[in-house]
Amino acid sequence: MTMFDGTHRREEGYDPAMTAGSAFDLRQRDATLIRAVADGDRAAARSLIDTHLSALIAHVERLTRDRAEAEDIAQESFLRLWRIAGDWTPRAKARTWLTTVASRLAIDRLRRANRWSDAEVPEVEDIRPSPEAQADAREVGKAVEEAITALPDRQRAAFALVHIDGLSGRDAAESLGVSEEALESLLARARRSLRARLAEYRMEERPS
Amino acid sequence: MIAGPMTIEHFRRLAEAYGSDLSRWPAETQAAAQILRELDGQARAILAEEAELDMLVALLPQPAAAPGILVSKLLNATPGGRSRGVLVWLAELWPGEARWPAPAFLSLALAVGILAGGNLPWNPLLATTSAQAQTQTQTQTGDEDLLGSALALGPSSEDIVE
Repeated sequence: MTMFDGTHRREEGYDPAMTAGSAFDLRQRDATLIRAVADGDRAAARSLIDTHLSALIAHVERLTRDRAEAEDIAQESFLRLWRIAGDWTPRAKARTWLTTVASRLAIDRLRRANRWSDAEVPEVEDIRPSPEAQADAREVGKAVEEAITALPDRQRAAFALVHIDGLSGRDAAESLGVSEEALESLLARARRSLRARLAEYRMEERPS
Repeated sequence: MIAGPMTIEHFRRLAEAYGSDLSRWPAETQAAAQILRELDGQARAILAEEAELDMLVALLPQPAAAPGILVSKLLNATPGGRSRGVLVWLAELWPGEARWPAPAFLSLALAVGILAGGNLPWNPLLATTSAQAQTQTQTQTGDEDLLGSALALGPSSEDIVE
């Protein structure tokens, strides 16, 4: 089955105008796709998978630091989406729902395996060696990924949910089971740590 | 909407958490934050400082592609995924316009099944054993199937409201 495209959507009765980027449109588009999945439409399922699976695996991998476990949790999250597809209402975006479910699954697993720490960790100063001043975007991106991976568990999860996966503060707080105020504290500490670790890459320090 | 104008301390606290893009801040704070950004150079300086980190985070590598086998598993797990998979497989045996052989094959298979079944004497003991075996198989399959896991379902879309 080929990737869902505009032509296919029109043939299947989907509205191409729903591809616009507003939250309302995204919720409506997701709802249309998910209801189609409930009716056995593999193209709709393929579209959701193509849109969300890779990012979902990457998100869970940031939490678990384990690619195979991330794939397993992402799979389980999608299977749960298929199961409730018939009852879906357009009040949440698929991405938000999947990310929330996957985060909860990951944190539950990590807690059971004593691999998740709720403890507060003192903020760390930059301990990385200075990178090359002319580092290209790929190097910088890798350094950013490493810096995020090095964050304490809860800060890492909060940062990934809000700043990479695009969840609102409220949704991210709900995913982590904390108040919005606690989430903002985690985010602020994560960003401070990242700024310290990535100080060498700041724009003002690059040669013009 | 928050009550009254936003203080620079509140603005800084939100910027340190949510970064330089006001559209990612809590919805009820955005209007007041935009006003402060327009009016206060200190607010703009705070956003500029946070923007440096946001720009670095934007350089994160794209996620690696999901493995094909995982995509196939998920497609096969959609409602009706397996039965459709058989039909697709049959259709692929006879590509192009010649669609009639697939139904013909199914008819032939059905006829052979009826004939084979008709030649077997009905045995209550065999039937009971077969039923038990079927139940056992279903139980085992259910245990192994992720869809039948004892874990609770995720939240409904009603629970996650945006």
